[in-house]
Amino acid sequence: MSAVLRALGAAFSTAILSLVHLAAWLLAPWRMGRLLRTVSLPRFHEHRLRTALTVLGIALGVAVLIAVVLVNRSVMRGFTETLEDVSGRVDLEVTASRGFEEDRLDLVRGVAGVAGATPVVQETAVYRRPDGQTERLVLLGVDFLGEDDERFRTYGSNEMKTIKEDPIAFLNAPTNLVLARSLAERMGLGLKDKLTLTTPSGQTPFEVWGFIDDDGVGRAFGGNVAVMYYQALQVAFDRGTRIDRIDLDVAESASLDAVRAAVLSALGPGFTVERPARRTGHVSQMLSGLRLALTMGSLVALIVGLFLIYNTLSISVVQRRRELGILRALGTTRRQVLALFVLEGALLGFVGSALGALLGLQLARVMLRTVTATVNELYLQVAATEVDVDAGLLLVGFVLGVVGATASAWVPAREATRVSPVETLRTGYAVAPPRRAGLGRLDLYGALSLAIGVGAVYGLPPVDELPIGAFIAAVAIVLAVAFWVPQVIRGVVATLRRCGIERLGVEVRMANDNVPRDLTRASVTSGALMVAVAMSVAFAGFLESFRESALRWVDRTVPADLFITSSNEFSGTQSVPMTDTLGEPLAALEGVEAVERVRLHDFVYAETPVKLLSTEMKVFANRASLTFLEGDVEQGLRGTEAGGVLLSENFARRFDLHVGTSIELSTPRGSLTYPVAGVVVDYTSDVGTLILDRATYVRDWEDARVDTYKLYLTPGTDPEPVRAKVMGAWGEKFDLFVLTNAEFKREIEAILDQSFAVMRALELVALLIAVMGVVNAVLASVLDRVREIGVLRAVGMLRRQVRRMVMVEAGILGLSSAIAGLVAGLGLAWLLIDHIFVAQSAWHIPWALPWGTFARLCVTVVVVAIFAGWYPAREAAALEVGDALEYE
Amino acid sequence: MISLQNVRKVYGEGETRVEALKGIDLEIARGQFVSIMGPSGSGKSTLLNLVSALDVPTAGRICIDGEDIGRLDDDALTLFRRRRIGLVFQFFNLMPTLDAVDNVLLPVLLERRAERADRVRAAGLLEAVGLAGRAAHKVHQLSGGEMQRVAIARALVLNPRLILADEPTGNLDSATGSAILDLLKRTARDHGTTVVMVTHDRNAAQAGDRLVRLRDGLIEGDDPVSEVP
Repeated sequence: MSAVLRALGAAFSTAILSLVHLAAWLLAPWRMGRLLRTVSLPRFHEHRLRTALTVLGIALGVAVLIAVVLVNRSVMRGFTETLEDVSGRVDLEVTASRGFEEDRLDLVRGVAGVAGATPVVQETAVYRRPDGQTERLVLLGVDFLGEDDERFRTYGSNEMKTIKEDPIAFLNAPTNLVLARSLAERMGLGLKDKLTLTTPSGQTPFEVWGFIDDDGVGRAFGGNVAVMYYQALQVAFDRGTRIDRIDLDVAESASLDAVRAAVLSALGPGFTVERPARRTGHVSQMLSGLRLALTMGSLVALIVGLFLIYNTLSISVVQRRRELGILRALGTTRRQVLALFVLEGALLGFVGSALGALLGLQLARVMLRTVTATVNELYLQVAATEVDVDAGLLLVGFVLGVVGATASAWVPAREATRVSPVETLRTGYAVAPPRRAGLGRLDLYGALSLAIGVGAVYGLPPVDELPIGAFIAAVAIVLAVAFWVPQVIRGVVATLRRCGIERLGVEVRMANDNVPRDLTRASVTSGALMVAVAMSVAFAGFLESFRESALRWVDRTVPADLFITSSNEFSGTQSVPMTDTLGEPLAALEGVEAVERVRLHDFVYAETPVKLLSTEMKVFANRASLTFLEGDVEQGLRGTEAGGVLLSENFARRFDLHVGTSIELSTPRGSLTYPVAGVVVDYTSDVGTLILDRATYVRDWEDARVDTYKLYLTPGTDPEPVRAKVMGAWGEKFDLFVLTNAEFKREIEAILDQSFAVMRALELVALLIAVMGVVNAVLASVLDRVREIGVLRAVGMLRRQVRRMVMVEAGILGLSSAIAGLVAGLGLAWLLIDHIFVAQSAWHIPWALPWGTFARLCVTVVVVAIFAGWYPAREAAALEVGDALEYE
Repeated sequence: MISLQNVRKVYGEGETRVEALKGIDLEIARGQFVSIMGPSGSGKSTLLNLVSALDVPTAGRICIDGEDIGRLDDDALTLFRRRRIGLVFQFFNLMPTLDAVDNVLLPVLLERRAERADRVRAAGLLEAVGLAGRAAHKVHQLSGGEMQRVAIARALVLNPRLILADEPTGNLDSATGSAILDLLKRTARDHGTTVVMVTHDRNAAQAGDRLVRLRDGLIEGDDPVSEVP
């Protein structure tokens, strides 16, 4: 195993070195390039593992950043491509909340400047793949028999042409559809075959009447799409005569704005007339929190990677003092020394960034699946299967890596120019006195950074929901703690000494004493690991606080015993709404005390995509324990029953609404005003939620469908027999999922975990890069002390004692990083919870710090650092005493 | 005490093959102070490394106190060095993180926790080498001569029967070097310790009872110091 690892390590470092050679060769025509090849390349060879780890660290940092940006763009592209396929040639679209009556079509067609107008109905159904998994199918109801539809969409379907010539048979049943060809092939469906879909009326067989090509509409929604005649879709989904939108073609001679105004005036209030691209803005806003979190995580990985360059070159300067002295003595100018080291950083950055760009592309492919699953589960249906490869972005990532690496090399390079030829060439046995402890320049910088950070948080308000001040403070806090890392290391070493660490053996004591010997190196290494730990602590703190708040809210607001949904465990983007006819038979079941019918859907308010939730307030408010931030239960219940609305705290904050004010909402019945009956804690949407009584909703939105039936059982009733009865009676017909209260809560926890899975993966990458820094630094520390280790072996230190000494040293570095990381992480958690999250979601969540997790994290970091010391420890223990004693 | 029989040491192979020792036979009795001299490349450091159990011979046998050290594994060799041999180096090689007394105690600390008696002994040794007031000093606070005295005290702390010194005065001025040689001589005399010292300083070599001269990996001469012209 060890031999295999060694061979792999050798192959890996050789491959990286070859790339470094290639890059250096490119620089050969320049004088500094020649110096680089003559002086630096042999050093890279000598420390090939360290060189390889540094390049890999940069590569990972750049890769993660590129992958995250690519994934963010691909998800958005998945949406915009579908928009393009379905509405690409639409000049304007007329929408209203939850649709409107189709008779408005005639009004629109009569407006001057409208060259064409066609209705669109869109619904989602669920089908089961041959492997048993469910998938969503978007049903697009269009008037493809009319002439106007051709203006907007291409279907590429011979069967649709035939249907158009003789539509009677096709229109005979409301369950006839034309399926995307790729989906039909995947499902093995031919003409006249049946595809069973879950609709609000339950599982219904639909008949395949044709296929649409995989370009144009057939490609939309990742090919999970079928076209129906819009009135058939209305019947199949029990929608009466409501349509979702009207697509408009504006005459070339007419002004878009003038037509828009004229259509709005013809339709009256409650309607929106916009370009389809406006929806992209809504989606972008909906996903902004997720995108921000991913980008922040990837930036941390890159910063840790850049720390590695700084770390490696700092070590290199220390180790090459003698060589630098010779170079300076032979006439190399300070400027050349500076250029040489900066160039070394740039070279490592060049190779690392090039590798990172390639790696980022692959990583994006892996990440895309997870992120798309999260988006589909929590936000909306997007079909992003292909990574949106963008050469420009790869170049930007690459340049960022090279520039970052070059900049990181600047400080060590400056240090290198200060090397005095006289001092370094003097040989002898003088032992340098240790640096004096006490407050110094770095501590002052730390205090200054902290002051800037605190000032930024309170002095710079968010701009467009972007908490600029908090971001500056995050960087300032990390910098402040980084400046204080030397003091933390000193403190840890002194504390361990006071605790009597020497009782564990002289090798442990010497390890403790060795750590601060090269405080710069130890601090840089510990600083990199500190950033990774801080990120983990901050996210763990935020996540736990959010989980606690969300789960407490779930505990208080969902006391129902059973939750019934169709096609998915949760109502949301993945489920299909059900008919409300189930309400009465469910209430009649033995043991059922009450039934609560809930409807939840997306709603656009003031150009912001929020959630509209309707429920039976009397049933709900009497059983749940809503937390009112404004108003109280009595007032809320009375207010909503009288047609008022409850606002989630984030909605109220975002739009500055309070009890006593009112809100105007666009409904199928026109624009209506609702008094605010209360502001409550609610975690349904990170943008905001409006809560209405079901009676008000059904009346104003003309929508009686139900996403979730909640059953409250009489005390002492076992939920299992009730569940069995529900499943027996309607399970198959409606593809039902019936969860008990405990199962529901478990699923919520699972969803929370899933949504943060990518963040956790990013944390791991940052930690991995930082651990490479520890290997790097401890290896360098061993190389610096070869002779000393030789002496220890000569006077009787066993190989295992040497191993222990080096590993404990790495562990102490890990411990210092964990402590500094915990401090910085708590600062970042404060920014994340109280500032960044508030600016993004307008939610105020109470702190609930997972001290157990923090303790585990710290222990893990120490253990991982100890293991990172394993390779250098093995190298140290393997030294031959005679050779080591002669090492200079 | 020390017995070398036909000891050979070869480094490298092929074109880089170097035969550092070409068959050395040597006997050193208990309590003797032997100086080994020779020009650069004569094999004196190789010989010292082999006797110190820092390296193993390519051929031949080395016995110290009846123990064939060629038969010992790495751990046993290390323990042998720790317990039975005291080493003194040209560059002193003290641990910079330890103070003078802990440097003296290092072989004890590698073995176990230092008892009060060990500390008393270390303090006594420091006193014996003339560093009574320097016990708590860090290495960087000591002069070259003081560092070498600490190194000698360290070599004596476990009361070894053999002290091996590699150019112990090579980095010291002549006055300090003389004082160090006196200390080594006194140690051999007072404790009955065998001392083997490698040096290329003819004056330093005079401190011993016997002078072994090496050239090109072979013993060129082995005479009592008193008989060396």
